[in-house]
Amino acid sequence: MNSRIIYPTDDGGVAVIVPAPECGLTIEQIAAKDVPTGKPYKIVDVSDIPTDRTFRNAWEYTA
Amino acid sequence: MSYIGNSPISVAFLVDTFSGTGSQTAYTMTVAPANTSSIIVAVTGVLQDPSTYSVSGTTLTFSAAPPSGTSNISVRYLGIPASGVTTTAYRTVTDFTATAGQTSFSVPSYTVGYIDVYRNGVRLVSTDYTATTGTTVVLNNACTVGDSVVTESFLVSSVLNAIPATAGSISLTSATYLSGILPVAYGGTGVATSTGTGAVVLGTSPTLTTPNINSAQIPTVSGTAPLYFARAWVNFDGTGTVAIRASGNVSSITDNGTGDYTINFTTAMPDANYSAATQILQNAARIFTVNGLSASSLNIICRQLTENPADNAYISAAIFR
Repeated sequence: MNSRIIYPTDDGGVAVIVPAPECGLTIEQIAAKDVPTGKPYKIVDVSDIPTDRTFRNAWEYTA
Repeated sequence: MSYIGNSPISVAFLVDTFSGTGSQTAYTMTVAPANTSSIIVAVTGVLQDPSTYSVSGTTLTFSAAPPSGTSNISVRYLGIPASGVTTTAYRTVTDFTATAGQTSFSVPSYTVGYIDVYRNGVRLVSTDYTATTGTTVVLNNACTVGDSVVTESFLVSSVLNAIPATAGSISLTSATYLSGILPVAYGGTGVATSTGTGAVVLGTSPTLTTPNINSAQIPTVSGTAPLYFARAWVNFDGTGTVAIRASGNVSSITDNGTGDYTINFTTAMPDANYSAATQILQNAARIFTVNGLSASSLNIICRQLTENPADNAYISAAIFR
C-alpha cells in the first residue's frame, strides 16, 4: 500500500500507521480498527511522509 | 481388462508378523480366520503346511516352536470373516387366488419397475397391467374366479465400500465422516491408525487439507512436548520510509516516534498474556522494551544501550499464545 494513516498523539506529536500489505484489509478498514477511538485521522500518500527521521519526535499533525 | 459394471477394487492382503523365540508356539493374530486354510503361514520365508499349525479364534498355534528370529513369522489372511452381516430378502413372491372380476391386487411394498406378474403361470407383459403405486397391481383384464395371480418383486440394493469391521480399527458407526478422509490403511500415506475417541495418529508425510491442528501431533517432531505456533508475526523497516516487508495476522504498525512502534493484530489475541519474541538486525547494540500490550496490539520501543530510543532497519516480532 502506498497510503499511510496519520493522527495526532496525546503529547502533541503525530503517529503514522503503516498498513501491512498482506493483511487483506482496506486502508479505511485499517483506520477504523487501528486508530485510537476518538482520534481524528487522515489518509495520506506515503510520499507525504518525511523520510528524514532525524527529528521524528518533532513532527506535528496539521488538520 | 474389461469389466461388466464397475472395475473391482483390490487391496493388499492383511498381514501379521511375529518374532519367533525358539520356544513359543502360540501367537495372537489380528483377525480370527475361519480355519487353517484361510491363512498362509511362512516361517523364515518357508511356506508352512496347514497341518503344522492350528487356529482357534485369534490364536495361531504351531505344532513345533518356530526358530528364533525378528519378524520371521508371517501370516497372510486370504479372507477375513465378515461381521455385522444381515440377511436381506431380495425377492418377494406373493400368491393370490382371484375372485370373479378381480383386477386389483394389494402386494407387499415394491419398487416400481422391479416387479413381475404371472397369471395362471404365464408371465404378463408390462402392458397387461399397471404397477405404478408401489403397493398395488391392477390387471387390464378381469380375472375369472380361481385364477392364480403371482407377483414377484425384487429389492433394489447396492453395496458400496464394504469394509470388514474386524479387519482394522475403522468403525463405520458414522460413515459420513469417513467419506474422502480415511481411505488409507496398511502402508498408505494418510491416517494409519486411530486411538481412542477423537485421537488420530497420522501416517508418514500426510497431506492435511484445512487442518484443525489445535492439538495435532506432528510425527516428525521428536519427543512428546506440545507444539505452539506463532499467532502473529511481522518483519519491518523502521527507518526512512517505514514499511512492512512481510507479516502474518498483522494489520499495521504504528510509527509513534523514534524507535517507538505499535504492532496491531488483524485478529486479536485471546488476551494480553502472550509472549513476544523480538529481534533486530543491526550492528549497533539495541534492546527492546515493551511499552504496552493489549489483546489487539503490542507497543515496543527499540533503544540504544544508553536507553535512548533509536530506529532500526530490520525489526521482527513473533507472538505466541
